[in-house]
Amino acid sequence: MPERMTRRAFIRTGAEAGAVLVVAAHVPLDGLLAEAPAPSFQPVAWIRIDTDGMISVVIDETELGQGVQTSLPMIVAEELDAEWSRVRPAPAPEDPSTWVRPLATGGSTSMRTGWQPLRVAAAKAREMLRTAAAESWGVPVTECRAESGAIVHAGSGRRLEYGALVERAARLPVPEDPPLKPASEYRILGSPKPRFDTPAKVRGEPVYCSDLSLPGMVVATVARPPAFGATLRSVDDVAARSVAGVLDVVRVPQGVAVIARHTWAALKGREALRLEWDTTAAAGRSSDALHAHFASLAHTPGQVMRREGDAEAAYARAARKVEATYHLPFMDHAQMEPMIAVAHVRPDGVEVWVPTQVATASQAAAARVAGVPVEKVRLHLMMPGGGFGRRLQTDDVELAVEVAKHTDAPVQVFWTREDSMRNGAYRPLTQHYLRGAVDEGGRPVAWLHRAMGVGDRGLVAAGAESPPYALPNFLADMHLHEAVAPLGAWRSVSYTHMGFVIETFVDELAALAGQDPLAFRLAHLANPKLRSALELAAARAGWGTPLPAGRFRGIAAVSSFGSHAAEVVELSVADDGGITIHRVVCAVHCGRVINPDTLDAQVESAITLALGYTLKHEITLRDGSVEQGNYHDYPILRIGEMAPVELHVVPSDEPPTGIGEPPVPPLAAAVANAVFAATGKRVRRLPIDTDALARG
Amino acid sequence: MAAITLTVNGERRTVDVPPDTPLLWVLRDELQLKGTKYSCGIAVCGACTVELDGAPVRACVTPVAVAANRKVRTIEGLAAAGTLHRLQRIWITEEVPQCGYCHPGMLVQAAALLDRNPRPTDEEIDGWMAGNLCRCGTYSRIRRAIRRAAGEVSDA
Repeated sequence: MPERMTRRAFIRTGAEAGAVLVVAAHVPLDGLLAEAPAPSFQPVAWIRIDTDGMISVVIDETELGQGVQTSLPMIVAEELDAEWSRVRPAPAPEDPSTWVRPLATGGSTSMRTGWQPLRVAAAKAREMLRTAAAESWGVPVTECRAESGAIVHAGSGRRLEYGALVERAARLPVPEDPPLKPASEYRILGSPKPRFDTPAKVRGEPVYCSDLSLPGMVVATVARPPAFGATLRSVDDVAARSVAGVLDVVRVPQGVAVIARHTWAALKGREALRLEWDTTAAAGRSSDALHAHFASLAHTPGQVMRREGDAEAAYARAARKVEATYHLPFMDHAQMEPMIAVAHVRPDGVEVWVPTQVATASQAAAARVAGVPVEKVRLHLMMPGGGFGRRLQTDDVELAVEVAKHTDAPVQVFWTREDSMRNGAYRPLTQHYLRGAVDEGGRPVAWLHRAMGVGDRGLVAAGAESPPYALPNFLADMHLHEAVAPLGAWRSVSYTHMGFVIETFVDELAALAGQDPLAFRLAHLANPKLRSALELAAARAGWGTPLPAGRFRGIAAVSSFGSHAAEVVELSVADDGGITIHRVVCAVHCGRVINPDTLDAQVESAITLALGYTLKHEITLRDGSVEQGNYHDYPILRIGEMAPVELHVVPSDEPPTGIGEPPVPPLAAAVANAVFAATGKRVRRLPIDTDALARG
Repeated sequence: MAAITLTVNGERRTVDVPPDTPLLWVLRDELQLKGTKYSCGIAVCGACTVELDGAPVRACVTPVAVAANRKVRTIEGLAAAGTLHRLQRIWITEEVPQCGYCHPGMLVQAAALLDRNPRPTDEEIDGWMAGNLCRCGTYSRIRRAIRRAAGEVSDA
């Protein structure tokens, strides 16, 4: 992919970014490319500098609230030595298939995968600006340096702002291997910058896909099967069609769509549908049945993930041993904005608006459903009201295009909260059977982990093969059951349950060994980064120091998604089993910190989500139906339930490794371990059954 | 169907909709005021909070007929003549929102609190805001921002 983009390509990718380009987009391009002076300088896909000195940075990650719209430009601004006030975000390309890399936001990768490419891109631009200035002054490049949005000539003090260098720089070749700014000179990275997206959100401006209003737009609701596996037997839409405002009722593969002038009519129209479903194939798809199935496999060897030594034999002959079974439920993401997408299918192509985490895959999915080539799909990437992994799926845009095929108008396909919760992409139900043993010296001698669940290895079992401890005689194997419901990645994926299982079981081994949980971990933990996080969390939490009466501590440490997080939770358990969390101390190793305010927010966010699944909510399946539907029966954390979080960061100059997910996995285990300290009862099921903790 | 007149953010508006249409959809679809959000539709999350004659209500379960001839204030009306409400200003400086979706409801609910209780304690804040859910976990910043806004007035 040539880095020197033609003006036509640039306009296709950057047309919304500024007045200069909107005008240019209306100018016929044929024959003008060779002659027209470039009104801007875009040596690399991500960065454009205009003659007024404004620097636009293409944001090719979805702004989920994790601050990428600001953090990614910070990386550019630093390397480019820009004035922050001249930097702004530019929208993602409307044809993701032409972009330099796939657009996919997830796995805590935005900083990790953006760091080097954006730095190099900015450095290239900077070098070209230096060269342009040097040429215009007739001096060696070595005498010119970048400083605060301008190139300065050391000897004469002459200064040219970037805007003044745009035309000359645009004619230069793009250097291959530009020098990168040393970290000792960083002025921007590591300090907070105000987020670009905050003011519009605070003003209540229409920034979300659900706020979109297009000329002639209609709204559709879709009646979906009441159970996974159910099929439609009959449709009586007479009453629905007569509801005021309803325009049409159409069949789509996902169900029956009611198309109406506005949302309330679409909802009332759907209510008036008389549908009959055949639920034969849905029967038996139940959480209880799945757990019973996995229980029957607990002692059956599974597909081996990793084996060292002979865990079974070592366990059999060990003096001190423990076995445990863990039960984890399905989970919905329950993000505040339900699933939604807008699609317009026209003879000349397809246009979609979607708050997706996977713009490239969404464009391809829309093309497939519409039966058009990918380049005929224009995709507007919207900011979601929460992602958490739910929007890594393409079911939102696929449904919208299916409905849009039935009308000339742009269609907003509206999902209610119940639609979203009952047609999710669930964190799978899993069950884990573990055996562990220590010798007389308190050293681990056997560890067997049988990870069982619905779905694939990545969703169910990833992480079982690599607990961060030196464990001789180790066996991790798995049993995977086919998906009975749609499944997907929930913030930290398999580590949502793996962190809980491994870090509570390690506590059980520590107890067998008669050792303090922190000391036991430190004795067997090899990874120096995880170790540094663990030691920092323990030190800041005052691990080992006396606590007020009735307060107890639990500790956990998990490496995931390239970063390392350790947490200490302080809590009390009341006589009725009710848990009050007083304090969460979190220490992370995530490489260099880009925006510390964003980091702080991300950690609080991760811990809030983790407390929710530790204490409050689960999805249960009964004969293919999701039994929950809204926040009253799938409760999430409320403001009064949020504990104070103290964040500590292990200082590091290494490249950033991400923070979206890593603070999630340790939390449940730290809570469960503290509950054990408080009550003597082991927690092996989430959400915690506080009745079982009641005294007496 | 009789037209319904209500005052929204200081402007008299007339809508021709069934009287049981939730105020939420009248605001969003009829009046194109998109700031007020749908999230649960059953008044358990607070995303749709607006003020009705000065009291916070959940627009998703408030039939528009109930608002007839009354005053509604939405997030768009929190700012007066282009000047942000001090809560909004502090929400920005404290970087309170993440995804931002719950915050229109949060801000209207918080503004109603400060109108009634200029110096709320943390417990009073948690109690008043308990019905407003945030999935992203911005709760501690919400509390801090409300305290700061309360402090700002008393410092004046």
